[in-house]
Amino acid sequence: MMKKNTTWMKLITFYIPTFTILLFLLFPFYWTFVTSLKPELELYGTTVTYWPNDLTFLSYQKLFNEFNFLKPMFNSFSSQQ
Amino acid sequence: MAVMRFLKGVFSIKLQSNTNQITEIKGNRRKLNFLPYILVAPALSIITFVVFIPILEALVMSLRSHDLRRPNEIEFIGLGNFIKAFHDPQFWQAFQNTLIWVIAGVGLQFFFGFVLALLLNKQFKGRGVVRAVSLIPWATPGVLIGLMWKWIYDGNYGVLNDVLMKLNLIEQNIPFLSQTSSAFASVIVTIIWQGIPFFAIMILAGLQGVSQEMYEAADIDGASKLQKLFWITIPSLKNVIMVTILLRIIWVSNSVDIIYSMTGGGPSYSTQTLSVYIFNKATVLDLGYASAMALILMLLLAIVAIPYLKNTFKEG
Repeated sequence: MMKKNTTWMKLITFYIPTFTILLFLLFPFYWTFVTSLKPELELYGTTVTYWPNDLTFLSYQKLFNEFNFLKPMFNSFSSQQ
Repeated sequence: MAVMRFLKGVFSIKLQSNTNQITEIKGNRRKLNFLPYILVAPALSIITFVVFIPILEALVMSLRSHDLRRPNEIEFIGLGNFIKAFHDPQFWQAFQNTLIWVIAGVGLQFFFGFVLALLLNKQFKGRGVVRAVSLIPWATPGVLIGLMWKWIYDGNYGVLNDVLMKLNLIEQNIPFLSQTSSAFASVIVTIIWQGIPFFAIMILAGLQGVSQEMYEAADIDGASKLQKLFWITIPSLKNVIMVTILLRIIWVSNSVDIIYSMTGGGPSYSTQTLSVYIFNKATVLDLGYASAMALILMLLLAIVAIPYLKNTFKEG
């Protein structure tokens, strides 16, 4: 009886608050990641999907081919010196 | 002369400890020791160039009608820019917004950061990973944070609307960032999100320094968990908490990036804080007015910070 009581207490005072704060802190990153894998049609579709139906790496290809992403990355690192 | 006296005041502790022996031997004749000044000179000269001279330049600009859109009319106007600010309704709205932004933003960051630090201080499996992962928001650039949250809040395709819809909390999509009633609360949630990890890491570090013996003594006396929190943990962390809050007040009131990338100060100036207003004025090249407001903001921060620091370290 005592044992069960402390497990409940731990759930309420520890696991639920930790999980809630972590969910709040990390969900935006998950969402950014999922968004990066969606094709444009799905981004602006009528329903919001939590994992891409039609997974694509086109955004990453575009990043390196069209926007020359290596250059800003290099700039970020070189300015640290 | 005043500058010399100020410098002497700053360095007096070191000078005295260095010259004590000399003064004892040579009686009343005090010899000025130049070494400390020479050692401090390089750092001081760099600070002069990157801090003092720009502040002086802002001061000069704030006394002129320094509007680069009208370059032929730039002239000395005394306190004109400051008087203009006091009669500017946008300035007062921005001032009020700054107060709400700082009090609500920093207050809730502190609360959640403190709770998170207490939770992460307990022993559990995977604590290292959870500690590391919960710091990521702090390491994210402000503009990127703004863009991430703007997409989450989006009125048509935003995930927040979808979640609230699925939980049956709302009937139709809310354009969070484009209506005056919700825009400011939305950007405040974003700054809270950014600041929680900073409070958590500072308080967590402070918690490592609280001596376990006090808790043991309290256990023997039969103190409850809440009593230990309020009578041991919080008093021991007082200095850490005060300094962290002060730093955050300064950073949050000066922060432009998140609001600017999310709303730009709109809709109808409802999210415009003083720093965003200053930035908006400076981008349309009204540098005189922007400098005047920047000096007002600096003065306000000094009024908050100086008594605050004095109080914090009075006993320590």
